[in-house]
Amino acid sequence: MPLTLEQSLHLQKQFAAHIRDPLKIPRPSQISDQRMQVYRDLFFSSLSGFLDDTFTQLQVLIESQDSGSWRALNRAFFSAGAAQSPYFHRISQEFLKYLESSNQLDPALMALAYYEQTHFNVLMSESEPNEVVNRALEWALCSDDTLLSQCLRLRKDAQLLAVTHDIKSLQKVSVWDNSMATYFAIPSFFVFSKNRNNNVFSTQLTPMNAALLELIQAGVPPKAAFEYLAKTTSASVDQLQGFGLEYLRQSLGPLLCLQD
Amino acid sequence: MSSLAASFTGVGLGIRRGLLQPITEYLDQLGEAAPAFDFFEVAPENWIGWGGQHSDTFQRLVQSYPFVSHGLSLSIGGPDPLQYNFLKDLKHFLNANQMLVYSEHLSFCTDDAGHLYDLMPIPLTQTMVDYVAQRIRRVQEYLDRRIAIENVSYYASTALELSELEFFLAVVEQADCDILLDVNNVYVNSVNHGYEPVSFIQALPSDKIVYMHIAGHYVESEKPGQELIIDTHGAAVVPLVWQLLEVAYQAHGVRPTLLERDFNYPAFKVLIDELQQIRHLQSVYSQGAACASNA
Repeated sequence: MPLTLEQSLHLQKQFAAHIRDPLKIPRPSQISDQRMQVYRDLFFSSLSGFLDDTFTQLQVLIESQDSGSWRALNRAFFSAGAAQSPYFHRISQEFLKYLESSNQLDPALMALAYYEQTHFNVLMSESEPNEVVNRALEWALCSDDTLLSQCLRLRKDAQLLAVTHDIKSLQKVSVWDNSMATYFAIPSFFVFSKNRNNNVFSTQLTPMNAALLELIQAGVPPKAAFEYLAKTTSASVDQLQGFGLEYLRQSLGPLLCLQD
Repeated sequence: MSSLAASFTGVGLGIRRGLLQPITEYLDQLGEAAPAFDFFEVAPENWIGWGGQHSDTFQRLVQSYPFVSHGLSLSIGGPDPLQYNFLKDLKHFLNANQMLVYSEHLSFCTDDAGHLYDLMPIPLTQTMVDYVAQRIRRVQEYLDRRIAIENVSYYASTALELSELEFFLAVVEQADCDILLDVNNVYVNSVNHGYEPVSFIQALPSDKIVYMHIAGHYVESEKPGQELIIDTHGAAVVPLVWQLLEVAYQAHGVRPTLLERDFNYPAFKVLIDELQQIRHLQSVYSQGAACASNA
């Protein structure tokens, strides 16, 4: 008796469901375990390879809690069917979304996951066209008055990140225990960028510089940004402007360009 | 299409990120001499949305060489609806980069929950022939071009109303699409499922075959009754597969032929030797065809 379309589609779904979660969903009875093993191994090793590449330190810390727990987390993601993107380079982003929604990681490890994903996002980001890069060099040369009223933004291949925990210290430990979380609960701020050889760098920012960059990124001209920051701190507008303009020109200069 | 197809001949190499640097170094050293390849192939899913240095190199190559695209994520036989958001990006990629051919695997990689990021075997049933052929037609209509469907390697079947060959022929016929003949896959499947590879190749309609793939594989088990080969693209092409490429040229005439190598890269010279072997066979069988037509 030929199978109906519905029966055929059901076979496909059963096959995929077993690959996602072999312990819960039995393999299709007409297929030998040896042959099904090929699919189980190929699919899971390919998926976890993408996650290993992005989350290098996260996997070390998770694995240090309990051997096998990183792969168990990869498996939970795969069996939850949480990846919708057809693009292989978005798998790690889909994993991060899954971690956010399933709320199972300690906030310190979650902060590390955001950091490592941002590193990856910048690695694969589009470069700015040359004319934008050239204009980026021009704005830094303009007078203070002109600069104060310019609307600036980060280049497409640069990104600002604010996280709740001290990433630089988290990167130095090799064993993790959730009781250590309080010790690392110091907010940290970074700007990521990459050089001509496609190497990604992250520079840690002071909270003040991060706040300045966040305002600028939101389209606030530097003058208004300094005025806003003066209201929220003990520093005067003049003080902030003195340091801030120098900081924009010297440190962030190559990463900023004029808003379109 | 005919003017585009005219530039699509000879020997091709599949571009992977790990091969970009050896390819550019090879081209730099080559100077004015002719390269060992005539065209490149990329997986659109690996390049859409990617920027940076790799993307710059890709753009330079796209402007200098004929390119074809070999898809991974379309899930043409999937149990879930076709993803038109993806097809929109794909259409833009194919047209913006002047891809001469777009091909996909006769398989599926999605379920109701999303993507599984690898290829699964379609149940070989009559109803799936109709279902998949209709989806191919819809994709061809949306992309406004014919697509080529590849005979996929597989390790197990969920249903076997038709043989692999019957299923493949019926889908291609009903969908009115082209064929990408993967010679290594024919060999891998012939061992894994115990059929005769030569007659499989000979039974395909010559006029539908737009190009061919050749690759290496991994022998997992040679135990009698449990023979198993994995289609890895991670090793040298074996003599039996070279022989099948000759069978394909004899049966259908010479077609553009591409070497796939996805990892475990040898010195680039080793890949060049394999590309030259393809070119050698193409020249042998082109001459044979010329002699036959003169006779």
